[in-house]
Amino acid sequence: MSLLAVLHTPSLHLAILRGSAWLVPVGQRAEWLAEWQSELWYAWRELGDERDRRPELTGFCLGACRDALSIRRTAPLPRTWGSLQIEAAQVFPDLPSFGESRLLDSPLRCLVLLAILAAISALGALLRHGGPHLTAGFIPAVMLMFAPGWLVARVTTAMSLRDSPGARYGARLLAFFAAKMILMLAIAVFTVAFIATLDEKFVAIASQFFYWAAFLSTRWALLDQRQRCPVCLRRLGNTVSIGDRSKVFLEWHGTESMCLKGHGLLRVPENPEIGYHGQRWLQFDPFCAGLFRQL
Amino acid sequence: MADELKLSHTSAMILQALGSGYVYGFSVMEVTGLPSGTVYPAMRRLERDGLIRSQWEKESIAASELRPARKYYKLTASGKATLEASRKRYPLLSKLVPETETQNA
Repeated sequence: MSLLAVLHTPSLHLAILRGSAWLVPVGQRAEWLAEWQSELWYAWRELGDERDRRPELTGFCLGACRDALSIRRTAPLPRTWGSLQIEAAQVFPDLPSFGESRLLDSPLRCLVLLAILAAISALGALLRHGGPHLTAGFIPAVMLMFAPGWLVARVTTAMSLRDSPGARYGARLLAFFAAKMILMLAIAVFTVAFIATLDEKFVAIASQFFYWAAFLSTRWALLDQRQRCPVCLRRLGNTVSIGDRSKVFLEWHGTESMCLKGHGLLRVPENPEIGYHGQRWLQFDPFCAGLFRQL
Repeated sequence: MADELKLSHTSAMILQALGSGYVYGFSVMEVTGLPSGTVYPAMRRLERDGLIRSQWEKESIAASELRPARKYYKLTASGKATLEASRKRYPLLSKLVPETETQNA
């Protein structure tokens, strides 16, 4: 008899079953565990007397782990914040949803929201203006950090403005992007100025604050730009994943997003080296807009 | 039947075992030679598809024999029809799983 055979005790088997039970959804867990414990009792009666066959019982219990995993895989997903938002959007279509950024869907609403935030941060900074910690050269010094922040964001964000679809809409897209960047810049400058007036020690690291503010705002503006329809500048929706990473030689894979006004489809390849380089905008015929209006 | 469920060989073997009178998971394992990690998940899928149904044995019966109650599985009408179709698809199926004594009697 091997030493390992001694380890195959009922305690080990019960521990495997109880450990696996944690994988089973709560509603089914008690019955699942009762069934496996009952089956183990009968299995022990059949095989337990033969010490050499006890490893088979351990294998039997390990099957419970696989069973629990298969139940977990097929169980309906728990109600998450995301699913609740989708349900809420179906009941109240006009309700703004922060998780899915419906608030920023419309380009006008997006700019108005940014302008309000810029105004609030400017007001906060101006109310404390003239505090002991701010000098005349503070703002220009801080602004110097914008270039590296912008550069790092541009390099690390997989999107260039040149890739933006539809050359005929380029000016409009660029104007929208510039407006976003100016407002984000204003928010960042005034917020950093406000933080610097709070305490003297913040003045020394204000440029660091601004570097990160520039980086994050540029990154956000680029990513937001990527999700916009070039025709109406609204955010694209119904994003789906297409293709399979393991079948790159047979078909392209990436994501497709659709303009909910029916202007077109944006295809973003997962791997630019396969298929075509960069994202591609597929313009729908004008009659499609009529179809989308009926939805 | 156009919408008839086509089973894999493993699922058909499990269905055949249940149809032959092996009504517990462990006995299905023993007669088919399949591991527990295959048999129990397959039986859950068959139950989900309405081919078999499960029921707990009465506690009083099990307690009187000083053993835990057991969950047993039975074929439904749909399961019997699917088993018949599977036997045509896999002709050796009934030879792979012998009938129980109670079934033979």
